[in-house]
Amino acid sequence: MERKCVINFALMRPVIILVLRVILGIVFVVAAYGKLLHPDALVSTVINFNILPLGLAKIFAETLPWIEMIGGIMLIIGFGTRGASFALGWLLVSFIIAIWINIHRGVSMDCGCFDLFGMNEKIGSAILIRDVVFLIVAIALVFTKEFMLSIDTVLERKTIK
Amino acid sequence: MNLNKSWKSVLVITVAIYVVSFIVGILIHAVIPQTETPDKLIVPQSYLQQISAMKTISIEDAYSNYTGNSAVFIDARDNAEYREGHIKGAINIPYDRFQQVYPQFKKLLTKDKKIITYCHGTGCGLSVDVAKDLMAIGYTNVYVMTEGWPGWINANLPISVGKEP
Repeated sequence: MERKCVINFALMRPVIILVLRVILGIVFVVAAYGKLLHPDALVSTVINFNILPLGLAKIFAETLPWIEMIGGIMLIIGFGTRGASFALGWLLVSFIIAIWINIHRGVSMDCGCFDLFGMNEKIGSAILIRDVVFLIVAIALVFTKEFMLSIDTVLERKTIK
Repeated sequence: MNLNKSWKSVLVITVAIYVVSFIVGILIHAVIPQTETPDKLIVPQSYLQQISAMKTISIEDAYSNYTGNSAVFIDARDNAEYREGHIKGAINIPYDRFQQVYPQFKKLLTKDKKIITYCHGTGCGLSVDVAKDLMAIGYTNVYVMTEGWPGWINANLPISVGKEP
């Protein structure tokens, strides 16, 4: 009985990884889209987080949505998946640190995570936990060798042939 | 797959994503038209004389006071303009209604507090008027943020819309 369960999990693993990969990709593309629609709000949010100096904050705000967009699309299509997960993972680390610092400062501020559908989340432990979950998924993807339904796998098979 | 080689490709892809995003971000920012900076205003001589007698503060220094919560910002423009948008947390004391409005904020404006006044930016004397009014009743720690509201907006700093500070 127990053995059967182990086998089933082993079979399910690529599917679970596929689902997690696509979900994480969609999350980042949606987040990026919202940020690209409201560039000024994003700059204000990054400045309001009060971690980076003014000049760097602006550069970060200009770069951030594109990292999310490119990384997210790469995850969805499964191209350079591990690299994209690694890139997004470090982004999540920066979010977690920034949110954690501001929770400890006791500041109530807009998270700016998903600037869509009038969503106006305030930073808090729920968002911190959500980002940690995303980070765990990203780390799992970095340590995955093969991706089901991905361009990576197709390319690799071609090179082996 | 050679593990060392595969980690190398992970790093290369990561760096590539960051670099491409940075370039795209900067390019898009350069292409999208910016809010116009009113730096071509002709500044009247009388304003220059007035302002030379005041303590002034730059946007950068005002912003560090803002983040440190160490100053009160006063918007010297009229109430309609204030409601359209103002520095987040700034109170509104219109230059022509100082005597009527000041008492409302008397408790907030203790004499030891740093006070920063602002209005339409370079050439605008309203913030100077309010600063003078404050100094006339004993405030000493008063600064005029000469670049004013346009400077604050162009620096993309926190703002608030509506009648609330």
